[in-house]
Amino acid sequence: MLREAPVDVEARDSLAGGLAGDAEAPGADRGLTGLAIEVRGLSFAYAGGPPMLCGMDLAIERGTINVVIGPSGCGKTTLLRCLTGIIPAIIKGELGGTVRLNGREVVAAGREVKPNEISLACGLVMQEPDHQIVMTTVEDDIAFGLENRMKPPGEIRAAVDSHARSVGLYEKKLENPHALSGGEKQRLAIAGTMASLPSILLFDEPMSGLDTEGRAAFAGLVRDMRAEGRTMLIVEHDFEELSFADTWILMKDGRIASATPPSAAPRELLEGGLWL
Amino acid sequence: MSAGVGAGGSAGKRGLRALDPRPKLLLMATVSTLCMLTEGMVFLFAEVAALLVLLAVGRADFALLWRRCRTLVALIASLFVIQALFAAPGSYGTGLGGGAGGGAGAAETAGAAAMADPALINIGNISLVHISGLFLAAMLALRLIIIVVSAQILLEGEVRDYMLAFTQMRLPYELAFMVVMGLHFLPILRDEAMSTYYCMQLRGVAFRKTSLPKKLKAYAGLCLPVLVSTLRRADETSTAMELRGFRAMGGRTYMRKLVMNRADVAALVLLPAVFVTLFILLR
Repeated sequence: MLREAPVDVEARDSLAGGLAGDAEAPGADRGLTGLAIEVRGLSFAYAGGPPMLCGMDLAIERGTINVVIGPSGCGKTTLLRCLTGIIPAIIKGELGGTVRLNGREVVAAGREVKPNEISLACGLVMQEPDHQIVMTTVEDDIAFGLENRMKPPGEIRAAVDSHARSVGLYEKKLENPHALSGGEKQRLAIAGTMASLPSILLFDEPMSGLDTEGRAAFAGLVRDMRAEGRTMLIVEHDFEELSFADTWILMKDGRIASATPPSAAPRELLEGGLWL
Repeated sequence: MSAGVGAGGSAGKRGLRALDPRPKLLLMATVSTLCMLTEGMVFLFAEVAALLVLLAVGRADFALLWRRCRTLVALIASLFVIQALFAAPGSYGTGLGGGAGGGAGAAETAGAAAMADPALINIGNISLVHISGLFLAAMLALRLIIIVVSAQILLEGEVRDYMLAFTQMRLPYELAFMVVMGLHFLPILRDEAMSTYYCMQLRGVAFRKTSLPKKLKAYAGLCLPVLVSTLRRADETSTAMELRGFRAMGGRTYMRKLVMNRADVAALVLLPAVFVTLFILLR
């Protein structure tokens, strides 16, 4: 018989609460100064591979939208894996430096917080929505994260209906997610992560499967979440559609090359020279 | 079945589909156990008939049922033939033979069994099909049919309801998830296998209209990518579940709750009772 894994209650509560993770009180975050994400000297190399992150430093303010831009292989996805604890808990390699989420250290050499505990504060929308959908109906999939957070059923139902509506899937809430189109799956993955109420949201190329209408809707959702006080880090090639972001972060060779408001973005980025 | 907090529950569903999953699970357990406990052919036939009646009364879609089962029917038929061909004389307690003997009198016992249970087909000195073998094969086939048909009763329901049923029956939720994930992923894996199959065909690999060795080689080539993608998929799903907080709080709540109504309670009691009564009368 399976036994319940021992839960470090103190650490968990500090993550869920101390990270100001619960967007139950997202407004509480609003106006707060301080860093949501703080990365210092982060370096990582996959086992037997070259370094993907090379002493990266990054500081993200709470309640801001940040777009990470960079050529393929520059370490964007590796960065997201470090922020969610997939590295080092699931993917092993040579890790250095630290990651702090809402002031708490979650990743460091010799310290490993489980991804499921980090997820209470920090949600990730993966590149492939198929990999993220785990339940057999749209509404159950949106509810999954909230059920794991042990929210009361009435609250879960209200959140599910509201998030299904916000991504245009309310009419399909009883359908099998695997029967949805690519764009609908992407919207479901976004709704499922948003509904889990993390204060920090990470997106890995969220607009890749969306049509024009879906992209506009996504942009609207992101703005709404900023208004709620959530912090967002969006890895996206089509960054020009996110010109309302607070910061465009340019990554090159495992480091941050620049972090500026879109209006002050480097010329090479705007002229497409980055990928040449 | 009705459901707690706004589940949609049994609204719009009829017959077996509207029934709570728990009576179906109990029925499946009862029917499968009873068919293994008996050696009575009459009871097995009665069990199959009763299950078919239940499916008919429960408004099951027999055309869909046939589409789901037709591959299994071929499998059961081949098992029947193999069992009938190779069962030893007197291997079924029909009174035709004394069963396989042992020790010093083994040869005599086997001879006596062969006398009492003569072969129906002989090829030279080799006797192939005996009446007891036919009985044994029929029993095996009936048991498989019972399991397949009772599984169809389970399929008259939604996977997500079974997960709720398991957890409400105090099964650890990790275990319930494992079962449900298995059921959930079967069609996805089938789709992935079909995609790989079509991709290989598009790249010129012939699966039909080719020699047997080439066919075997082509199917072996199909297995590896499907296996790799299955393992990858399982890995990614478990990571995705972790990233969505699975097991982070040492427990979980549920948006929906299954609540049994009178019809569900009646089915929970009466359906297994009918099969147990048949067992007592006909075994």
